Amino acid sequence: MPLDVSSDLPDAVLLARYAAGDRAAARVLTLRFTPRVLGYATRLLGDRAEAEDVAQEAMLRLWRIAPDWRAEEAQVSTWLYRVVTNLVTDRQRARARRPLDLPETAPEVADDAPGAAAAMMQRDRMAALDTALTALPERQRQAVVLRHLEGLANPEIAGIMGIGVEAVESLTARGKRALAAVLSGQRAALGYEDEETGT
Amino acid sequence: MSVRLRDDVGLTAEALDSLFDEARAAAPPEASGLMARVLADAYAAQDALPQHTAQRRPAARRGWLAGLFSPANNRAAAGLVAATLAGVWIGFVQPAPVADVSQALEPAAVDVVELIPDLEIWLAEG
Repeated sequence: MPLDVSSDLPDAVLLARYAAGDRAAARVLTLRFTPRVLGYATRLLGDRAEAEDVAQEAMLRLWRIAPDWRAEEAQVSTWLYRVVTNLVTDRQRARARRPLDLPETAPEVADDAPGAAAAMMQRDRMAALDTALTALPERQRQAVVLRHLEGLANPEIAGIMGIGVEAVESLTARGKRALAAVLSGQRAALGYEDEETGT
Repeated sequence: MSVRLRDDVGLTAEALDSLFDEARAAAPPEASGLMARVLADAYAAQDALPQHTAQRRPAARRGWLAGLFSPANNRAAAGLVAATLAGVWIGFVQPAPVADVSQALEPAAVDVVELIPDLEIWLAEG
């Protein structure tokens, strides 16, 4: 049966077909996982080029483990999140983190169309969020991103990070508080200023 | 968008959740160049996979004895067993032809050659 991009075959089945030499399975898995892996790596690293390197390396490890994959032991997505987390941790420990510059104010909007302004504002909010995430301690950042941006459940996050569920809850709560504090100084970048604060 | 801000600890939980919702709903990053590289890696790794992996692995786990007595080696194994049994039988029974050969090779008398002088000479010299 030929595969297409919208194939709804389970990940493990696709991986087995890949190991058996199916080129189409390789394409479907690439399209299914690469953007997700890249998004996660980007949020952890705050650097697109480095995130692409990590994403490519994680996917390469998936291809190499495909012949020995045991579907009953892990989900492909969970396994990939774990690999990316470890690769990012290795990189962050190997280099001093480069802080990103927070935008002091929202940039000028050249196009005064409402749609363009809204898109610009959203881009700035996402940039502010990503920058604030890089200010968090490593483990808090991982937990917050996995829980609130990747939308995973705490038990799955616990498996990815190699810790207990209670530790995940603690990291997530502390991470959110720290993130809120960091973002409080970014009202302009967030585009929320002066809407209603009572201040 | 209406978002409440708080000066003491920063954004409220609701504002932060709203920001998370917006981030999750955002389009994934454009990654066509990366996906092309990932797919190239996939094909290369696929080509490097050993052929017929599934068929070869069980054979490797059966051990050397299983390999020796595989159907392909049955004739060789049968010859080896027959030769072993014949050797044991000849050694114990010594049939007449073999006994004759043994007697022909056995010398009638054994000459004793003294290669080392008597130890007493050495002892006497101190």
